[in-house]
Amino acid sequence: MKLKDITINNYRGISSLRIPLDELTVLIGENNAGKSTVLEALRLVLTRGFGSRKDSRFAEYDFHLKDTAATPLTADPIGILLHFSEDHEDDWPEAISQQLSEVIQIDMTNGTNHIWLKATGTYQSVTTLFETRWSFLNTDGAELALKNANTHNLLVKFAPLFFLSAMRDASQEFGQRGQFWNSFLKTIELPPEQLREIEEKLQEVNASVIDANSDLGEVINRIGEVRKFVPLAAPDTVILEAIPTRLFDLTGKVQVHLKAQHGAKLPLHRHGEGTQNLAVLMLFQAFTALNLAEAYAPESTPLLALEEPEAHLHPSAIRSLGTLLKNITGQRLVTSHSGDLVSRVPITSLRRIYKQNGETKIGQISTNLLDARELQAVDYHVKSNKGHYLFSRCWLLVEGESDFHIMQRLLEYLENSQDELSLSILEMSQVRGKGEPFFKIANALGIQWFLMVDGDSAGKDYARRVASHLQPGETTTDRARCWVYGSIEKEFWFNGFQPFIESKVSAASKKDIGEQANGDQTKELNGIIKSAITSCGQKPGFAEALFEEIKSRGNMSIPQSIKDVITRVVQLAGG
Amino acid sequence: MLDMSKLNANQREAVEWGNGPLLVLAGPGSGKTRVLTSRIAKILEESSGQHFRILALTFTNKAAGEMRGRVEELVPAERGRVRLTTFHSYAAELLQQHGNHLKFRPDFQILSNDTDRIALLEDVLGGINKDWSNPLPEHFKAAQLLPVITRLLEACISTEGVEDFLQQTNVENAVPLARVYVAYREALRSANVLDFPSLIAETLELLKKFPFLAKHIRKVYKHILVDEFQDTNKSQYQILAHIVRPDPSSLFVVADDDQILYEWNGANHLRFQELKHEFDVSILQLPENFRCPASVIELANALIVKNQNRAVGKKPLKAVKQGQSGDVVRVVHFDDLDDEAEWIARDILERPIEEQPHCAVLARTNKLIESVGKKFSEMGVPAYFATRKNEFLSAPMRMLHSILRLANSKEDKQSLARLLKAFYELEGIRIEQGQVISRASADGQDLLRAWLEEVKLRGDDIDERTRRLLQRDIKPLLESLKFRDFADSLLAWGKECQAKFGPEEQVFNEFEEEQCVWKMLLADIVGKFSGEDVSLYQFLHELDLSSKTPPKPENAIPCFTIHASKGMEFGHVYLMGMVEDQLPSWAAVKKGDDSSEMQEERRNCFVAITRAQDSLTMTYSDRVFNWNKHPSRFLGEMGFEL
Repeated sequence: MKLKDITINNYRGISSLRIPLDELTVLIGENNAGKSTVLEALRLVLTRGFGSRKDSRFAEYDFHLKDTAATPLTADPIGILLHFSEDHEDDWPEAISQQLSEVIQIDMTNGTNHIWLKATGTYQSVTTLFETRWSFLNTDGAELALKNANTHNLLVKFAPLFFLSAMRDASQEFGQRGQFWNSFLKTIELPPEQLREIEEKLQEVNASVIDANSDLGEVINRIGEVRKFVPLAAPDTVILEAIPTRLFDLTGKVQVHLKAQHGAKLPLHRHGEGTQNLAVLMLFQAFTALNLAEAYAPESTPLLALEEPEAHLHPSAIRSLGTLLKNITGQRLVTSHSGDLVSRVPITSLRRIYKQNGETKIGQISTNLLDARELQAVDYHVKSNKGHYLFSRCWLLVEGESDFHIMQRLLEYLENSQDELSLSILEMSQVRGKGEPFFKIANALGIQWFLMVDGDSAGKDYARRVASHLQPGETTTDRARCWVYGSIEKEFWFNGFQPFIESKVSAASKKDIGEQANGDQTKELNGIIKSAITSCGQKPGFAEALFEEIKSRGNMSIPQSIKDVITRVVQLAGG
Repeated sequence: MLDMSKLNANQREAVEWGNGPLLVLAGPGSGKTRVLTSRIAKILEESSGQHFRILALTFTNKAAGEMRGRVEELVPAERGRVRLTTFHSYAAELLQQHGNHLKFRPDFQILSNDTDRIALLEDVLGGINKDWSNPLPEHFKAAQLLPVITRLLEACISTEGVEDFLQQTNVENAVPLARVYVAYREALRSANVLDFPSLIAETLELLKKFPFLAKHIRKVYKHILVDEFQDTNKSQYQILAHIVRPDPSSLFVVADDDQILYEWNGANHLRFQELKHEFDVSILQLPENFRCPASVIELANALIVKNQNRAVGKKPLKAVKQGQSGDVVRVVHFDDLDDEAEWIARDILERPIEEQPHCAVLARTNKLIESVGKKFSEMGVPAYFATRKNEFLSAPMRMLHSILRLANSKEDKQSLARLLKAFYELEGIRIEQGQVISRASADGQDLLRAWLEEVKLRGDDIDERTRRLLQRDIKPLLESLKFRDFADSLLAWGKECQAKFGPEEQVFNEFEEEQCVWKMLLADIVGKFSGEDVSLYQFLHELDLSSKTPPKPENAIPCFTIHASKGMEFGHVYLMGMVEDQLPSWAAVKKGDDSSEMQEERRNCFVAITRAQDSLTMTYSDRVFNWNKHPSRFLGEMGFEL
């Protein structure tokens, strides 16, 4: 059964948020945006052993405090609501519908089954305790009267949650109590005859190892003197075991070894952190394939919450991991800070958590937002190669290579580090649809954006398209600007940089350009600029030279129009 | 493995039936409960490990409870997979889960008594009459209209179709009546309450409007079984039909057309034809009777054969019980009903003491029963009358019940009125309803809290114990609807009040018995929810659906109407008042020998005599309630020459 969405109210940093989930959902967002809060909320609700009102899984610090005056005792109740649903009629196995029938709600238009489970955390002044109340809701959000507490536990059985946190420890996962590993150890069983035979052999081996060292005999005697102080059995008070001699001891110590490239067999915990992480994921895969049905129910669909799986992995390993995530059994909810990982998952599976005016919001690209070619464009220009763009707070969209290089340097120069601002400059002259797919996904994901274009007809066309992607109350100038003099180079030319640009063009070239222009001033100007760019070693070189010149003149020399744009994007990025 | 050896061939065939929908015509004492429970147990046992459920519908909580007990004994591990309940309780469950599609919230309340229904109807009439231009006829009074509303609900007349229906049936005042009906149903909806007939009517509406619901039900309940099918009225039948339609193959219905006692309530032999017609049920008969002596069976067969509207090919009952001794059947004649009652009481008391509780007095009407009851009480012998009791009668219980209802449903003015009355009777402090209501609206509080404030204001009039109860003990109820400790405190407080008043005080009538009933129902309801803290809401719901009749004390002698005796058996049956105008009733006599009313009376007599396990005594008098009466024609039909 699929978890369709989670709604969180007044929980930690989140005052109100609804997150729609897919088979694979990747939560991205800045630190402290609330990604882990979402996973934690899920874990609180889908952990076994509830039903009792006295359970205090919510503590003081879980309450969302809306202002400095608020305290956990007066805060609004915490609400975490999970919505499970069928994708189509008869999607769930009958056994699920049968066992959960008391709480199943039906969409009367298409017959699909739905379940809403809610945990409410409140402070009870009578008992002075934080209490949790569990309820199932109907399609109108009203509480259903429950006949049987068992329903909670059944639900958790059908949708078991496995949580792998960022700090996961492979040696624990592969230890005797590992959540997946232990189910495999339990299943090792041998016929009694064979068991006895093996254990006898083990004792034999043990004896020959221990006996080989004569000093050990003395050690045994010495330790045995403990008997004088505490009551212990005799003889054979002390037993040394080089290896476990009973099967259950032995299976508990099953270890995973990986053979390194040079051929040495190394236990897993001796490998790098990244390798260990991957091994845990693979173990989970094996568990769902082999043991899930037995440990839970044949109808169970595992829900895997995976926090920052990219930790300690090489970028190409991260990208492979991204691909792997698409194929893991069950429903997956992943948090990530990795552009490499994001590059390998469908863009529609992303959920970008961000804050706007202090409120937590969620951005998502719905499947019908982009047509196939737009999707291709976004995939090519952003997701596949520059996945980190999706983590930015603001995009400055520019029309040409010069703009891209110059703006980048100017931002740095004006002490607006792109990294601190979480700002990205995207060049979009190669993008089909005049940048429209960018406006769309930026809006959908809650990324701020600003467009800077040339003053020619193409530029004006860009600007026109902006109009249909504005937020309510905005005007085109809030989101886009045309250069006053037609292009960024001309912006400098007409603002005191004419001599500098001319200095890059040789007298001979200048003469040729003048002759060719034959009195057409625009043509002559364009020719000179083009020649200057060429002589600096194309646009990046020109940008570099221009930037050196600006530095020598001081920031007063930067044209006002450019300063305005920078002020605006800094403002947008600042939220 | 289930032991099938105790079943006879017919019973076993029914239990193991696997060829599509089946109607089992089960005569009285034919072991139909055993057949039903064995079949349920067998299906459960054979499908162990699967998760589908079985829905088994009965007409009384008692029958459901008994069958549940038997199934639990047979297959304890699978008991969670059977829903053995009444039509009403199942309807309430469906409405709790899905009633929001008809704008009923899951916490709706059940109006279990007519006083509340009449009060609501009065509000409705008042509301309509506010419109001066179009008032209702002056003689429209709530108490008189309620039975009409009930009939319309039971006939599943929709609000859209009610006007046409009333006009076609030539009812006087069809138009205003239709307005009242529509407004009453709307009033139930907006108050989020349901009475018994609308539980059924709205459930039917739900199933009709949303076919996905029936589909879902059939996904969960793979088998549907119905007990006492002959008692289904039209709406109940339609609910059943909606649920069965997606897959009729596993329908299993047990009925006896010779035991229809509720034709006046819509139960009808035509329903058998509908069943046959729509679902093409096969029929299996269980004519063997394991209960009655052979001579009683002879009488029963002789009697019932006179009825015209019986299932085609219905076999006569076959006595299985061997050997009988003494006076198995007696017919005794008296001059007057008083002598008759006196004799019955004495005859029972002359029996060995251990035999007495196995006797029962049956009669067509409550009035006849009372005459015997009077004799028993004169002789100091406890008698037990199993009349349904929808509400508690003693003041402390009424107070408890109304406080709980108010805590659960904060605007319930009826409960407030009841609380004020009970509190006045117990404490002598009169608080006006208006005061509480205006305080509640002024302070934005609920009625219960407003009432508690008003009580507080009385300061010194309130004694210490009462203050503790209403200021301290009630807190968990107010804060988090925890009601069990408060109920205990209130009952203890009630006992102290009683000690103060003395035992003669009217307001404590039945207080002891009702405390027992309370504890019994509480245990029952908690048991039904397997260990979970039952919520206040759920508890009140179940309480509303349960009769508050106290259980029969061990040594008491049951005195039942024939209707109340349905489904029971007794060692020695005394059927009294066997005269024309009683059994058969005056109305049936008037309609004539071939009328359906007369046939229903005959079935009454048939049911009454087939309750007997060891002996049957029928009595009649020349004078009943000071009227001269002839012996019942049924005595003649059974072959007695008088």
